[in-house]
Amino acid sequence: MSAPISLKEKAIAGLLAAAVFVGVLIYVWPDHHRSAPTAPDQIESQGAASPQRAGGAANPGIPPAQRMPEDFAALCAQRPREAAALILAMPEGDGRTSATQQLMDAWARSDPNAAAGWVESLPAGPFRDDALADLAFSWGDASPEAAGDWILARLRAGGDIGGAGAVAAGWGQSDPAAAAAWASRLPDRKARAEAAAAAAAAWGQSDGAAAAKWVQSLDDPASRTRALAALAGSWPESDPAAMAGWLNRAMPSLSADERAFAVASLVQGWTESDPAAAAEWVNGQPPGDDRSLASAALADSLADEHPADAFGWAMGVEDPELQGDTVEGVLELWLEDDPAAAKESVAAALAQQPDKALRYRIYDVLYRTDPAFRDALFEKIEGAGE
Amino acid sequence: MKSLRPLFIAAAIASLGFVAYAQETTVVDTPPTLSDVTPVAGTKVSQRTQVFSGTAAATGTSGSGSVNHGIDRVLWRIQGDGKWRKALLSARGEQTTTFTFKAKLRKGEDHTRVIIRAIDEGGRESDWIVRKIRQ
Repeated sequence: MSAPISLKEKAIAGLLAAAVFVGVLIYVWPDHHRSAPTAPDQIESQGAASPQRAGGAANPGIPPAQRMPEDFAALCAQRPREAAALILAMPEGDGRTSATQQLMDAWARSDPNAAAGWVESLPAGPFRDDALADLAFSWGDASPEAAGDWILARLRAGGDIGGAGAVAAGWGQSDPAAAAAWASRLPDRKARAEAAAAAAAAWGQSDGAAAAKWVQSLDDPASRTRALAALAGSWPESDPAAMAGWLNRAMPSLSADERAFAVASLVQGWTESDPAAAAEWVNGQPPGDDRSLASAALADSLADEHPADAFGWAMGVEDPELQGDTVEGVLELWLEDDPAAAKESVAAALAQQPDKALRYRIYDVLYRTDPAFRDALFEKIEGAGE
Repeated sequence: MKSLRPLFIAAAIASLGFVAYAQETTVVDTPPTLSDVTPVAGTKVSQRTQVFSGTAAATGTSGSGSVNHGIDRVLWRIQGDGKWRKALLSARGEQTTTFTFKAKLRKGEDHTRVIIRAIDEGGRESDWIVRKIRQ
């Protein structure tokens, strides 16, 4: 027989067990639960680092407008180092970003190597990344061969790929074919893909067909997909009908990702200049994933200015999941901008919709956007017995 | 203290059991990633409306008892505008999907920043990409 356990002993044992339990909890609790996610406001400063991080002295008490000389452009052209010092003393924000662009544009034309030295001296961070891209674009525009050699030297010295894409973008303003050829020769795979994308985008603004031929000749699938996505973003600005014709022919030879980029970007770009022609092209596509994505892209593009048309296209998306997503996207905007018209159209469309599964998917969407309206509509159309 | 032995044993067994359960279900969370965003950094565009595209990948989780999540949504907004909008995904719920969206850049400015983020079906969020576009 053991002695009876006192209350004090029970308490000690209980505390010990609890301590072990809590210790175990702390040990196994996933890391992501220990830290709060990035607050949305924090990202606002990511595009431009703080003056301290950028290597300058913070002086938040003096607004940038009062610190900038009247003729900042002349200062950039004549005494760029003084302009650079002024920029470093500015608080982060749009003013500093614009001033840096202006300085890099001027310095890239007067003494790009000195500009590169200044950029390389900046601490790593978003401000340096932006300055590097600004310099690379302007240098690529002004003296592309020299800018290309600068990027090659950086890569050979073990530098990051920053600037490769921007040099190709700047070079592509005047000679996209030469920019593309340079991009193809870059020794680093990531830099090659980045530069190929920039060259293809620039080329698409002047001769999309030539750009497409070059993109399809690229051996590396990652570079090809990246370049095709970039081309698809720019070609519709200059000649969407030509791109549509090319896409109709090239579709079978493209990967699923390449088709997705091309179809969605073409429709989104084309809708900007000629929504009727874009709609006609979408209607001409054979049923399947590509047509679903094209219809969704059309609905997405029309949602801001033509929500009723957008809703019709969203309802016509074949793929059920994509249909639900597209309808939700359109309705979110429409219910916010013109709730009366949105509700009237949705009620009319659902009352005539024979597909019960589709009706119920729309109820799900409405439940997330306007539950009171959803309940009233559900009762009206489906009846109390449902 | 001899009389406490059963209590200590019970506490130890309970703790070991919890550890075993926790190890079984603990996963190493990996947030989704965004890559291959176009236009590339430093690009200058001539039109106010610009199509953006890229790839979102849910790298999922690892460890015993892991649950893999696909990409749920990719959101974007113009810096300075508080409203997030959804990008068009080609394969929502899959491990990898392309995304595209059309953004109206800021009027009368020499640059616009566009912020992009991806969220997987487990609620994990990617790093935010801030792409500055020159106009």
